[in-house]
Amino acid sequence: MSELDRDLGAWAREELSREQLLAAHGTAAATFVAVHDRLTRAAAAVAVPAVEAGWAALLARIDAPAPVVPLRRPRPSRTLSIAVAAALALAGIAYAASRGSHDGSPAVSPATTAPAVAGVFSRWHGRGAPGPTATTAPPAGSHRPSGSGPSAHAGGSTPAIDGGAGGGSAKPVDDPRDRDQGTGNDGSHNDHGSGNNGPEGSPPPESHGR
Amino acid sequence: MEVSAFRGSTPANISAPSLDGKGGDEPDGREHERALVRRAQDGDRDAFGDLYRTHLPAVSRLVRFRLGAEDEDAVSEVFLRAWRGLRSYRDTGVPFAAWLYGIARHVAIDSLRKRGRDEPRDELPERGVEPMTAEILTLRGAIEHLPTEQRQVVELKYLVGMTNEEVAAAMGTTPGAVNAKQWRALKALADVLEERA
Repeated sequence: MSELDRDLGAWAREELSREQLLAAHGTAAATFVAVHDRLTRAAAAVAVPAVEAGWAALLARIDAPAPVVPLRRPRPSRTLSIAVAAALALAGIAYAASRGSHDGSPAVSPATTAPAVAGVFSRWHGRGAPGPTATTAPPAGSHRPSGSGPSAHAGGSTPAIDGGAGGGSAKPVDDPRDRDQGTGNDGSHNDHGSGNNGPEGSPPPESHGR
Repeated sequence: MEVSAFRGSTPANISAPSLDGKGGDEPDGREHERALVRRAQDGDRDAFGDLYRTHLPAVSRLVRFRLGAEDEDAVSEVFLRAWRGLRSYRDTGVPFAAWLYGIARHVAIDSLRKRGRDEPRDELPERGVEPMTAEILTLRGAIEHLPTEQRQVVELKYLVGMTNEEVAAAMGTTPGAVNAKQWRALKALADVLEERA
């Protein structure tokens, strides 16, 4: 703390007179004193509102119910965003359905799309539960040997559209005669979810019929 | 007892803007104010009325300096928010006036926003305004150039009328540091005012 600081403090505490302060520090102290005086004078000049009238007005405001401010205002842009998102989602679903119907199958049925979902589901969970196609009736023309249902596959081998999901045993190359593209037992043979790796009706290399 | 720079050095012909009575820096005054606050927190309007009367001058000065104009609605808003938020006030040694000061600052900011201004602008005194109004506007413009802490010290000491000890309690610092900040603030104010002169 400088000598000036100390003397200014002493002046503020009335331990030092203004004359003594100015005599000791001259212009430097005069600057502080001048600003101090201006602030003091301006603050003192502020008019104070009438106390009792102000209190009465305040009481009236206290008694008035507090204004309710809605936390969220409806925004048109939000509605528009939701509508666009919904339209995109519907378009995506319709596109996926149309792709599924153009792969040679006679019609789109729940069984053509459900295995993919079930296959992904079974991959996520690594459980051996049969997928939806295991409990739905196979399309006409297919056959399934007894005791060789999907539940017999380790790892829940519900076949998936990509041929690799759902059991993980499908081979990368499909039999050209196969129409199911790994999606189910809708074609000329039953691959038991393990890929098209053999002639019609032949059992997969492992795990079936046990 | 240390007398604040404001109160101790005020010339005889200038009335001191202090907390005006009960809420002062004397132990009895502080204890009396604490009791009023506790009663007001329990819903005693008369007690809050006493607090209102005690602190009205200081709040009026703050609002006047912050807004650059008299605004009774803003002053009233400060006390209305204080009443509604009184239950959240905790006596931690910080003067009640400092709590009101915080509310007043927010009310002033909101009021300025409402006027379409995010920050108080420098306003040169207009021609024809009352001399003291011009002086307040000039000082206000200079105060806005101060760093935050120095501005708080100036406002708490000159407008609210706190002692160094009270300001130190409000700002979480020491009275010596408050003293130093005050003189630095006055020096900075002098420089700004000289530039504008």
